[in-house]
Amino acid sequence: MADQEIILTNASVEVDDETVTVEGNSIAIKEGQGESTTKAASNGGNIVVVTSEDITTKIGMVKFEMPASVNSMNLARDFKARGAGRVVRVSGLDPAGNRLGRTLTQGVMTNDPEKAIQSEGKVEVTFEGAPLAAS
Amino acid sequence: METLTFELSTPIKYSPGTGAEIDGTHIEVSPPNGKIAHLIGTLKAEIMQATKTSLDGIDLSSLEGKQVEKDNGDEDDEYGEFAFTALTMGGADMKKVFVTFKEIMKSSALMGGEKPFTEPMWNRMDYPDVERCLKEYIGNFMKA
Repeated sequence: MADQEIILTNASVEVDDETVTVEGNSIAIKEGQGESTTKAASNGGNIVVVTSEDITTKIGMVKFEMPASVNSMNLARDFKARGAGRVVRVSGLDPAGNRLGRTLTQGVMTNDPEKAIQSEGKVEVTFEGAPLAAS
Repeated sequence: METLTFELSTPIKYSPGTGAEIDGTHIEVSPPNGKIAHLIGTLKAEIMQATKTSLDGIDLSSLEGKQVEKDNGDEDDEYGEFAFTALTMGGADMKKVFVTFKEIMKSSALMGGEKPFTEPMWNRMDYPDVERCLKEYIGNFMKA
């Protein structure tokens, strides 16, 4: 087993097969495997653990920020206008050559981002859809 | 000139806009037009320069339009094969060749005949498909 692991800090984001310019340290994903709850119950005086899966949380998510250039602002507007049915891919290689690849299908841009027209401005974009698939 | 339909030996995934990914098995490439004339010119110059360097004295026009049938039954364009060989043996700037060809594809190809060909699609293509596509493109559209 490797005695050192290096965190992946740069990845590629594609929306509908087009690469997107993203701010550093801004990409975040949620696999959409869902949340589970546990509670204790009594069975004849014995304590049993009851678990349940909340299927309403099985939502995949890809979130990132774009520099607030005019191009990015228009792109974010375009993403929103396209509505549902987007495919978003995130992929990257760490320095050791380990690959991360995730694909969000049935995606829709859920947020309505504030677009700051200023130095260092950013446009935050969030896509949600089916649980992420490894790719 | 007719649209070239290039069959991929290794399908690549793309999103047609339905929310799902599908396997793309072919690419439709339109004939060159004025929009990409500068790219065609760049590619043609590399071919001619490399040909001159590697195979000085051979008359290219004698190969125009010639088709050969290989043992496996596939037809291939001899000119495309010849030009690619000339490029690689003649010291052509292959980075320039492939970058130029990528831009040509992005400007004139449709994945699955429906979705504009993009850089990520190019990145996902297997190298043998890239090379074969380049040969077919040269053979079909650059003989003149």
